[in-house]
Amino acid sequence: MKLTLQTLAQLIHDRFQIDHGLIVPDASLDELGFDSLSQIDLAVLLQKKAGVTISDAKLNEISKIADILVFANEGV
Amino acid sequence: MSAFAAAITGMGLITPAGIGVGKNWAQVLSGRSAASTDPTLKGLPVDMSCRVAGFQASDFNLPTPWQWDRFAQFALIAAREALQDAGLEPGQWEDGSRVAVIIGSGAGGTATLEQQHQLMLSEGADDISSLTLPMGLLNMAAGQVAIALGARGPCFAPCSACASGATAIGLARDLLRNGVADVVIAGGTEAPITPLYVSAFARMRALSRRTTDAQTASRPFDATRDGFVIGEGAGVFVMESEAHARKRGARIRAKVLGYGASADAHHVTSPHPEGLGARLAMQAALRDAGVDAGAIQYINAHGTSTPGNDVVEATAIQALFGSQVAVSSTKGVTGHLLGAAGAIEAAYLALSVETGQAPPTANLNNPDPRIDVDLIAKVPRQMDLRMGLSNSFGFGGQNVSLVIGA
Repeated sequence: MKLTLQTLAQLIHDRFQIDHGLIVPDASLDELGFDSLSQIDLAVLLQKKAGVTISDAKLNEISKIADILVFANEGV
Repeated sequence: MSAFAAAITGMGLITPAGIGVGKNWAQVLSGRSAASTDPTLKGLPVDMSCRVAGFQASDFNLPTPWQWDRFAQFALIAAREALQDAGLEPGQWEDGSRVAVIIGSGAGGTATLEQQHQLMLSEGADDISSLTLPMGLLNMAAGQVAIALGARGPCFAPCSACASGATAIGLARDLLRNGVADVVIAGGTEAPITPLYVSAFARMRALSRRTTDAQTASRPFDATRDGFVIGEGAGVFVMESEAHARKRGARIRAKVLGYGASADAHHVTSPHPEGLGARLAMQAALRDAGVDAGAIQYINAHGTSTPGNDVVEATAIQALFGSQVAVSSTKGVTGHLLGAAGAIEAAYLALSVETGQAPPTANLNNPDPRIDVDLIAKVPRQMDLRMGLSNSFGFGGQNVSLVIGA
């Protein structure tokens, strides 16, 4: 199932209390406040709630919200 | 009197008596208890607490809010209020390396640790948060506050259980006296209302069982007292040397004049039967302040409302200060904030000195007949108050007294 921006924004909001409005494709994880530890928690969230498994190596390549959507929806 | 005086130039409080110093002081003077039935504790042996009513972390614009355990949230909120009160702008320091942050706690981020432990058992080790330790460690309220405020001086979290907040203020005074810092953000914080903490205190028979009438459950010095009511919150001072405060034209609200600490060296939880440790701490604080017992007009007691503490403490007070000294416990209103208690009560004492009003002991209807001091009950007392003392005693037999004056 395709991961939409709306679903992703809701998941991130519920777990990290970030305003929906800030979670846009161009928003970088840095700007949103995700340090290296928080990115690990973001990966766990995506795996648990969206069935998207991101390896540690792949996690390093993700720098903004759009990257997550592309990765999650690859081959869908 | 030639002893060193540390100026209190700012205060911040977030407690069951209210968010902000003004609300706190009004409720503490009113003698209205903040205790109530707590739905989060339903099914446990004791299901009441003193919560910070109406608290929503999202109201306080915390940076990266998911990284803050509740005990660290309280600390930053109180620190911000204290800085504003002191007329200081976070981050706008003349020299950030001269700004220290000393914030004690007894339980640290126990809610985070308990939740993550439960998650590990139910879901597996790979599912726990990578922020478990950055949120759970006891020194992280001090660490997070220093980060948020850009304070680069000494930063640590003293722990002496329920005396931690008072220890922090005493050590802050030492840092100022020794010239190690120009400004110290000092206090205590605690968010211990969790199933594990409440159940563990209940097993020790330390908590009041009057769950059908939470409003009267915390009743320090009363003959019918049967334990404390657990509370949460934080108290933070901005402290400076008098010279530093004067130089920048800051208002000095009160001064920390003396700090004394001791150990019972007796038992992990029972106070020494003659209150030896309590007496030693009070004597050390008087010595440090360079005053005789007769200079102390009012004592904000540790007064937990436990059968064990209150009589022993009052007896130790009477032995040192005589029967005429005025004594009250603000825990009848706030409940027991554990590692934050010493800091919030130091703030209440500073407010007593500033306003000339000693707060009453809430719910004190039938004083324990073994107590022979002048207990303040029901209504605040107007006093020409120049100097008072605050007691804080922790498990482990760890005792702290602070002398605070005008």
